[in-house]
Amino acid sequence: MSEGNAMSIRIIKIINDIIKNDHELQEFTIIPTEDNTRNKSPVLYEEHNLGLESWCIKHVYEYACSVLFSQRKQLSRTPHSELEKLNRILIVAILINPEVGTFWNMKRELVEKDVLNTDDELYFSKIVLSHKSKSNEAFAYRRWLLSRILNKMAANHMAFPTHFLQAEFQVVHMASTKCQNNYHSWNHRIWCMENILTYNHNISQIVYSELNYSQEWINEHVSEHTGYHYRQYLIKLVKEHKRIVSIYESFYNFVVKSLLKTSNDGDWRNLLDYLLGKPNRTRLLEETCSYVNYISILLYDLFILIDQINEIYPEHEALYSHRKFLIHHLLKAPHDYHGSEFKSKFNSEILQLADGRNVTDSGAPDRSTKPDPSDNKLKMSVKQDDYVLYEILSTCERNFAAKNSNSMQLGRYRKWSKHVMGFE
Amino acid sequence: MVKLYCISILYKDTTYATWLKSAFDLQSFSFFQRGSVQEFMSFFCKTIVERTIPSSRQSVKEGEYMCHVYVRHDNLAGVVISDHEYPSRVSHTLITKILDEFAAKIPAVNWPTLQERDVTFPQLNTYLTKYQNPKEADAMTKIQEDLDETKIILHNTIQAVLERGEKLDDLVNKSEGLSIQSKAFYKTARKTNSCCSFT
Repeated sequence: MSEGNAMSIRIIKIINDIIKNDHELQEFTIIPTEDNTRNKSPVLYEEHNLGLESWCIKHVYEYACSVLFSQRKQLSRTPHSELEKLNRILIVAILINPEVGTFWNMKRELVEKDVLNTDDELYFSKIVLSHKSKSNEAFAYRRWLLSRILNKMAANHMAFPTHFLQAEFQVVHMASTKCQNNYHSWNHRIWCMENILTYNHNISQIVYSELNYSQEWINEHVSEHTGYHYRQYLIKLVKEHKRIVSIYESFYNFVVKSLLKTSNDGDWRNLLDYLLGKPNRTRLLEETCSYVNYISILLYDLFILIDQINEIYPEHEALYSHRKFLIHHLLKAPHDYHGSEFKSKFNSEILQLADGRNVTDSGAPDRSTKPDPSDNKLKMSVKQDDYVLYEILSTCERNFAAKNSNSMQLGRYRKWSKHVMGFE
Repeated sequence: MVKLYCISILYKDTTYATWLKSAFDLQSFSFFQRGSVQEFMSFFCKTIVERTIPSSRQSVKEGEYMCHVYVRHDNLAGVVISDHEYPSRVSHTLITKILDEFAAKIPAVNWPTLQERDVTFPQLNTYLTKYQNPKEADAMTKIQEDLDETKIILHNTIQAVLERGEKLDDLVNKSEGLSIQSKAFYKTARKTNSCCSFT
């Protein structure tokens, strides 16, 4: 046993030295091996990559656990000098098994005691993520560290620097690339957007570059639902965020020049009047701006992004889901803009059921095409077919159906379109 | 992820296949595992070619990987290994194109005796890089039109390609092309029930 411990201590020392001295470490891996046949050190280190052979894991982890759990209770009374030693064992224990919350909590205590600094810890958790890219504990730890930094900055009235956000996004990108459909990493990205954005003045710019990033990502990961979900989050953010006040030219120009074939007359408010039927001057300028961006991006995705992907990679369910999102939001947009309530066919039928009205009657009026009585009072009623956007959508859907008539997904999609949206 | 991992050209003697040229892109694999992944991909290329009859095409799905193979009537064979998102149609046209070029450059009489290190066909690496983006396939429309997809035999596991009584585990154990380390990889991957996925 003591011989095993001596070996474990040596391995822990080697790994710690490497992590301490190399600030460009790319990844950590556990390498499966049968047994210690070669009588060599199990720690491999090449070109900024760190590997640990699996035969020694059992011994090292056993040793680390025995030390850590015996120290856990008296952590608050342990002298400062001992804590650093403890951290060395923690590092290896977490690398081997990042799913143990107790280890991470011990690290949190060490950070609070100023034994560890946040920069080193962000670096360490990045290495953990290179090994286990779906480790929720590692992401939670990063969020905890970032919150500490954010709180400190907010207390000093400092803006959150953009490069910090970029660094975080790079870590997220690595984790998303290593594991497909990495729900944890995309969630982390959204968390960053939500928390860091409030401290940053550059929102318009950041959201725009994220839109471009997500487009690039989707082009390379055509069936990953997580990537589309992130884009949908961004699109909704564009619509709702009050501080995005610049027009995203590339999307806007696509709609004006390529889709509508009109010249850009400079006043982007005209676009909304044209697409959505009639002007709503009660809207604030920045709200109008949000709507121009929102509708432009939706149209761009519908006509360019997923159309191109669908041609090369047919039959991907994720594409059809994104299409549903786009159509739903494009149908809903005019209602939102004019302040009337949008009811899809499905919703209105549910309401009818609740009202006890007859829905089996095929002649029953399609309520989604008729405005609510309450809207009539407000004189904001918009019939579904009297604005240009509706025409554009129905032509687009017809063409899409004709082009993909062989697709196995199309039938289901059409059913959704007809029965849920009430859209032909 | 849309990704091409490997393109390989082989020559199939009646039952035995030899490698003529291979190209790999394994950047997305963990650094210390690339060697083993490469050995395994080569191993699968050979195994599958040996079990494909001349003038036929097969596509084999194994986990998140797709392996496409085409053995020509003259026993020249091509294999493409990609992920599951990469369009199969593009993979098969790419094989046709590469084999045509290879046959034009290196005379058929030499194929049975050639060693991989003696073959100069650097285009293979260029293609591997270029066709990471399947949009490049537009350039191959002519071949694409000739490709009859209904004739491609599709298998859902590599086990389905093996002959009766053969087991993948035994083949791996017996293989001389796989190092002890790679075999250990294979066993671990098997245990976690995800063959070839060493992550």
